[in-house]
Amino acid sequence: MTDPEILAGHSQEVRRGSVVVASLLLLRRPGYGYGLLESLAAAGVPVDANTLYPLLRRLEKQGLLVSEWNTDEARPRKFYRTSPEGDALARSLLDEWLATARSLQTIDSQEGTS
Amino acid sequence: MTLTDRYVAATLRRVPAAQHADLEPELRASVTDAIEAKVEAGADPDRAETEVLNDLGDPDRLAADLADRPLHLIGPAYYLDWLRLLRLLLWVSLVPGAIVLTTGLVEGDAVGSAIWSGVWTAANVALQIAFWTTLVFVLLERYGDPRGPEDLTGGPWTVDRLPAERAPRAVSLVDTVVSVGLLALVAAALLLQRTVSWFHEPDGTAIPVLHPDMWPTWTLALLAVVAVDVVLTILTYVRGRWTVGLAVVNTVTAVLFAGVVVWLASVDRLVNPAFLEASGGDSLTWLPNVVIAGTVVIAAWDVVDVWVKALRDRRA
Repeated sequence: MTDPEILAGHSQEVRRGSVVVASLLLLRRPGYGYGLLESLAAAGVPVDANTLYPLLRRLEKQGLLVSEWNTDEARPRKFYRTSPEGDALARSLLDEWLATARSLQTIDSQEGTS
Repeated sequence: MTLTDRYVAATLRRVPAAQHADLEPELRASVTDAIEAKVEAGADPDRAETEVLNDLGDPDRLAADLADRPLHLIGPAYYLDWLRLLRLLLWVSLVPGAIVLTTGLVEGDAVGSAIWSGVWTAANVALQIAFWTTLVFVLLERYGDPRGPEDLTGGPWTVDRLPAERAPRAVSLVDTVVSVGLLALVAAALLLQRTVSWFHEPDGTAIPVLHPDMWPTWTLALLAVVAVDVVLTILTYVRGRWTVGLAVVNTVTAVLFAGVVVWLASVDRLVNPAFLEASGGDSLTWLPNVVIAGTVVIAAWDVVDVWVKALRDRRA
């Protein structure tokens, strides 16, 4: 039985890049911080708030997200939307992610045969 | 003030003011959204607030992440350079230690106390070297050229990277260590000449070489210029070559040092008259002129040499 802390550490490594891809894909429809946090959890990519909020700012700074304040409702919220560059990046990252998954499966199926 | 107010204030304190207008309402809305969601799910409002803020964690850490600031003094881009340079520079601290030890023995101090003074001096100089070297690297980590993020995440290292990563240095480590060593000697001489001298009063106190009026203002001013020169030398090693900016700073420090020395000598406030007298009347009257000429020649050579290197490397 693997030590749960070691497992958590490796699991975090594997998931690290997935939050960026999932956020860029989800924000093709504009969303705000907490809303995205819930959507990510619902989509099976849970992430901590203190990881997501800095990430959103970084992606915005890199031009992969654009933001706009929505003051129509009682609580003003900053809405993020994936830019065309962000969309293109997300697609290429997703391809990479899938290719990696296929490769891992191939390795797994060949296990012990080499 | 609610807990949320205090948390937001604590976070913003560590974020540049320019980002406050944007960050504060966003952070507030995110926290309030999270609390409301918990309350709607049936939690007690106060408990919900505490839980949400506990989950967000240390506000200083969150602020650093939000402002994209490093949470380390020296990161992987500079760590190895820092370590190598520090290891070599620390050897320099043995020089003043040895000087103090030798002068102590020559002056007839007890062997134990001479050794203790030497070790104490070496330890103090080592501490100074470690502090200033680290400070330079800490500033580089925060305000220096990032060496390109691909260096940190660019996959496996190959020999193809050797020339790009470690471009041939115009400034070698030996040059740097010798320069810092010489500067340490100058600093040690400035400080030690007050207590160690060739000539002594009848009661045994040393007759300083330099004019007593120089202490403390002008001696400390010269020491400050030497300290700036040490930092400059380390910076030049880190950059790998003399740049125009570094050459300008070098020119300023050289002119300042030479200017102070020449001015003091020209108004007869550099060499201690009592020292000249003790040396036997007129035998050392030429000393101020030699000091002026020597200082000007060395400073001019240093300035020209550095400018030649800086301009040559820029063309290269």
